[in-house]
Amino acid sequence: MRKRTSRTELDETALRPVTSSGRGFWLVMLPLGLLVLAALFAWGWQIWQGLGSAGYNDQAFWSIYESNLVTFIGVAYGGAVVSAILRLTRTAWRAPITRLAEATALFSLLVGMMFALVHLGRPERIWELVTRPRLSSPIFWDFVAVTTYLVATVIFLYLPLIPDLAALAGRLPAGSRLVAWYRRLSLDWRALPAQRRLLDGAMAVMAVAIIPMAVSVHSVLAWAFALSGRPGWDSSIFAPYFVVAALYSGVALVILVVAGFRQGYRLHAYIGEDHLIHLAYLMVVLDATYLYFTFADLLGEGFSMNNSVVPVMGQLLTGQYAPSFWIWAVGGGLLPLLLVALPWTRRTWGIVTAAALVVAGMWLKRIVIVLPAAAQPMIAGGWGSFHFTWVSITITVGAAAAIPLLMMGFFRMFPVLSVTEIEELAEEPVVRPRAHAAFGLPQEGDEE
Amino acid sequence: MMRDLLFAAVLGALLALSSPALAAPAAGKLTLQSVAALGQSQPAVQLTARLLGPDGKPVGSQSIEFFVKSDDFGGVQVSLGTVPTDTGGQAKLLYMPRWTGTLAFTAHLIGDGTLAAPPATSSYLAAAAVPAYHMAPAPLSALRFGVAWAVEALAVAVWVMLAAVLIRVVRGLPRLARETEASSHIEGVSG
Repeated sequence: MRKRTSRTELDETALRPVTSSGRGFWLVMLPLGLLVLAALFAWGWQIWQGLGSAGYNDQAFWSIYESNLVTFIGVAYGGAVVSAILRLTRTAWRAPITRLAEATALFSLLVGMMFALVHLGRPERIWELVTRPRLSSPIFWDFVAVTTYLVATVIFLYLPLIPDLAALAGRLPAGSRLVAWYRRLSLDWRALPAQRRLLDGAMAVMAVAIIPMAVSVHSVLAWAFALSGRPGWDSSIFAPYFVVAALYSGVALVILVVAGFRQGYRLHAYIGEDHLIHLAYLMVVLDATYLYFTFADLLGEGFSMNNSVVPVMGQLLTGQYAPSFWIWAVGGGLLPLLLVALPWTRRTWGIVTAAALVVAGMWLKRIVIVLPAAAQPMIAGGWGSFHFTWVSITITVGAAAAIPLLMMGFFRMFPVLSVTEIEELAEEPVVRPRAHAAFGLPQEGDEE
Repeated sequence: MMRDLLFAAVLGALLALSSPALAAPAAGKLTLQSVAALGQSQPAVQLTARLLGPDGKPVGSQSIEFFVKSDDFGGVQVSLGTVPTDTGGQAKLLYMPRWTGTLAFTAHLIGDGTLAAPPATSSYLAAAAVPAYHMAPAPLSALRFGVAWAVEALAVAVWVMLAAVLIRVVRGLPRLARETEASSHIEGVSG
């Protein structure tokens, strides 16, 4: 069991990144910043040279950036929904990880939204979605759903921050320039019962609202594919398939973020291995569901022997995309399931490995969803092919680096732990079910 | 060494001349005609390609591929299908126009390599077309833009809800603090 800590220790741990940043912080921020700068340079180069420099062509018109958009927005969905479900079910172990999950949602969503611009090739044309909307296009509704979800994610992150901002304003030196901002943003929070009721009510509304919002975002994203009528995308289960994929990869990213910040910010006293195990259980349930959906999708499309669908299935299962598909199936589907299912690998290292495999594997899966169907000739000519170039790879790697960079920057200004929530939940009695012992989870009295 | 190379070159030339497959194909003539097809339930064009040999006689058992030019995606020749010529040298294909206006058809001789002929073209003015897509059946077809407006109303409602939550918190928390402060001040004065 994690040792019980005092309020002072909790404050110190949560506020340490705000008040001081060690050399380790800058040693991580520097390479991440360089990768993001390289990505910005590559994007500038792409705008200058055209989308061809990213490997795009007439017969591979949707490829890596569309896969990145689905991947990054998907993981955003996972972070928000995990936090919302844990709040709504009043799960006792949620407190130390909800802030990290909510921040993961916000920053991966921001990075994911950028890929809509990168994918456009002519980013200045994004305004035409507003000035010349086409109501029958899923792309327009995708834009509406994602922007709505962004606003909801910001509010969902901000509301639980209010009590911590008030605490932060009281603990920082009076001369600090951030104090005035914290006071303004904390909305005169004094932890009054009436204030608590108002804030809890607003947070409950947001937790309920953000789940259907997140479902709508990924459903609309799926319909941008499914309603195109292209073989390989024209599937009736695409919307729930995408939603489960988003949750699956999102929970995996939350595990990586929680494990990374636990190690880097020395949060072991508040985030234990049991937190990772709980999240890993959620991940494997979604893993099994996603494998089932994949089977159902392939069976429905492949078994019909439709002339237009079978070539896409062939490319995916035995053709040029087969290595990527089977690497995902084993590395991103079965292996994480085993790593969490087996007791001797159900440890921090095993869970982090499983989560990393899921995040990488699900990116690969999005590639094999997008590319074969887009590359199939619908009118004339042979199969198209997409080639990865330094431009598309640099932008993708830079975008992945931007998430931890933005999160570390954010937690340089705001507490990494939800201090007030941890305190409140610490006062409630902890009841560990017998199932804990049956599944080998840490018990009261166990030392980590 | 030189003698071996010379020998190989002569042998190769003799083989090439003696092989019919490597010999130059004979010049044939391909024509294409497009007329309205009669007796069809939907608008259709009867495409008839006719292949003649160098001697002017019809040539059978040669494959002819038909194309129509589409202006979509920068202008491409869309393959309509491949038909072998009959004993009269004719290959026929029934095509239902997908759009109205002037349609440009082309017939290419694929054949077996013994005969070559330049592609033949023909144009046809289609007054009616068979749409490539079919409207969804009722009640889906009745929804159409009604759905778009309903979804738009839903999106507006969500934005209003988000604004309401935020405004309630932003205005409510300081108000509650002020009220508590005021009541404690009154209690202090009266006490």
